[in-house]
Amino acid sequence: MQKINLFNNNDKSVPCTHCQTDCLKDTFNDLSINQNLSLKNLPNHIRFKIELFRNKIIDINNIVQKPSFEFSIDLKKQAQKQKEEALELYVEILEMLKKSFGINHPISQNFFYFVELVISRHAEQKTQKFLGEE
Amino acid sequence: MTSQTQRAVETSKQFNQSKISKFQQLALKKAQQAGVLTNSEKNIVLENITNFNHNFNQNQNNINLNLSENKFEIRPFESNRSISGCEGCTGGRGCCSSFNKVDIKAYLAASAAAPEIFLNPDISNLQLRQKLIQEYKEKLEKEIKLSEEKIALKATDLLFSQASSQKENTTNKKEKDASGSNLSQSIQTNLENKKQVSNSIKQSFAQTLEQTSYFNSSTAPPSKIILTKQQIDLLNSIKQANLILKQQVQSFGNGQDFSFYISPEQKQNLIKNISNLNRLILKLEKIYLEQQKSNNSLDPKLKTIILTSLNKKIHQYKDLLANLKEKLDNLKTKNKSKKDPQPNSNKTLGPAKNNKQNQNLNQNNQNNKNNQINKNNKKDKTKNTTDPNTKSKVQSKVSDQKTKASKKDKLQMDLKSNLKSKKAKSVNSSILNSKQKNKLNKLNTKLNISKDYNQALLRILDILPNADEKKKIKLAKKIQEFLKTKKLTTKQRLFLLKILEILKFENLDSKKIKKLKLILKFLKTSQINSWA
Repeated sequence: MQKINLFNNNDKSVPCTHCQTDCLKDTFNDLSINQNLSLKNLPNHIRFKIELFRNKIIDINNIVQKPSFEFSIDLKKQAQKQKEEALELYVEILEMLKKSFGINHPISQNFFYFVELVISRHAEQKTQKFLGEE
Repeated sequence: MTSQTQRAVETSKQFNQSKISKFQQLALKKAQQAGVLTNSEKNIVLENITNFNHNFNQNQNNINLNLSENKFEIRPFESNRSISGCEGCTGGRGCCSSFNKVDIKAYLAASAAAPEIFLNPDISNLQLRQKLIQEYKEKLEKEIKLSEEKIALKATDLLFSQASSQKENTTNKKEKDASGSNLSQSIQTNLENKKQVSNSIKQSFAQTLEQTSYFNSSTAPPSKIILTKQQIDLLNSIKQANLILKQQVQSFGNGQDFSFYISPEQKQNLIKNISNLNRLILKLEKIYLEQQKSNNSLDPKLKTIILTSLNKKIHQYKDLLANLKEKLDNLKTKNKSKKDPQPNSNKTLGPAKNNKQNQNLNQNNQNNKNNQINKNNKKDKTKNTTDPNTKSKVQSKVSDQKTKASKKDKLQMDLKSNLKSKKAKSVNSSILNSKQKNKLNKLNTKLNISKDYNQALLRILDILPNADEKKKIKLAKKIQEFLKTKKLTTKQRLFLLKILEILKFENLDSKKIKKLKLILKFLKTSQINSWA
């Protein structure tokens, strides 16, 4: 069985930004790759953030898909607000993953792919366009 | 070549970027701006994302994730079955919802509990790990049950302690009630001695203070601290107020009683009780305000109950106080009317007595006049008696000498007799005049009575339609005065008594008011016919 080192910084434990413990190390250290690479094994506070991000994308899609979206300033404001929150969440999650595992770690890579997956499945073309606007 | 390679790189970048969603690109840009990622890190990430599928597809056999976009599935850790449905979307495209279905806590706990198994790379059997997790779960459940049982035991202990404390409280209350009943007896027996009452109250307060000091002392068990000092004070004051209320009700009956016949001792007691009640009301109001403002440990429901009952009590005492004060005022006015009879008989209070006095005065004047007349008559008689004697003497002396003077004397005698008759006539006329005056006075008094009576009746007619309790009481008093002091016919008396009876009813109906009006009208007309 292949054994991988989950930490980039020469096995130095990095305290979690939320719970200030080595929760991620405890969780993923020395575990086989079979159980590790999925986001399902993440601790709750990261998982919740990821779930929140997913929900935000779904909400944005619901707002953008409304027929009155193009004519309603309120709806646009709402969608913009949700989009900003989604971006903030993305940055927060990325920061946590980078601190805990590093960007090249499979879990971090899995997150990036997860984002792609969520956008491709939960956001229509119109929303994808809205999400890509700066 | 360089330009060609540059172009190739750019096209590959564009191709890669086309693979990555614009949102992810924007998000990475934001992360770069926030300082989370450097430029190089960002490029690496982008490369990783573009190569993501390829890398994972290579290790597809080892990883539970099937990362092809069309066949995305996640196998939850606890079971081998794959989930293809997503809770977020209704399209059955299994995605992130499966994160929720992994019992990460249990897994972490199991790994922490048995690290030699979980950290051993040789033990890779998933089923074995699952068994371990289940065992750990069972352990946890047992522990939870045990803790729940412990909590239940503690709760029962607490309940028992509370019940025991409540029992103690009830016994204490009974003791206090007993002391309160003793107090009431002492108050009833020694109503006149206020000092004794106050001493006994002080004693009771001292007892309660002692009790509170015991409750608050460090030697006492903590479960006994239930009533605060203020609460005990409040209970005592309520009891005290109740006792005084009972006592006053027993001694004076209902406040609506119209009888004024109170002994001087009772009057003194009445004054004392009024002052006591006044103080008590003030005290209760103070306590009420304190209780309302304070945030003590009392249960809010209990607090509201206490406050409402206190408020009721205060109002009750205030009503009683008002009644007692009215009684006292009436007594005072009555005494005043008895002590200081006013000279003017025209006013409403006690005109009959004044009339009597006037009559007496007239009689006295008459007697004096009669006496004077009698005296004058006597003097005249004496003069008359003396005159013939002297004349006889003179006649005896001068009879021989002057016989002719007899004619003149006779004439003089006639003149004197005429004078006498004239004087008598004048006296008789004066007597007649005094009699006439008396008659006129009597008529005047009657007229005065009739005026007062009319006024009273008119007042009754004015007030009755919108009569309050107080007004009714005042009216009743007026009518009573009329009945006692003034001379009325039996019919009038009966009607006034009827009015009194009607007034004693608590609520005046429209029918009763109509009846009253009819009676009053009849009284008015009859009185005017008979007296005017």
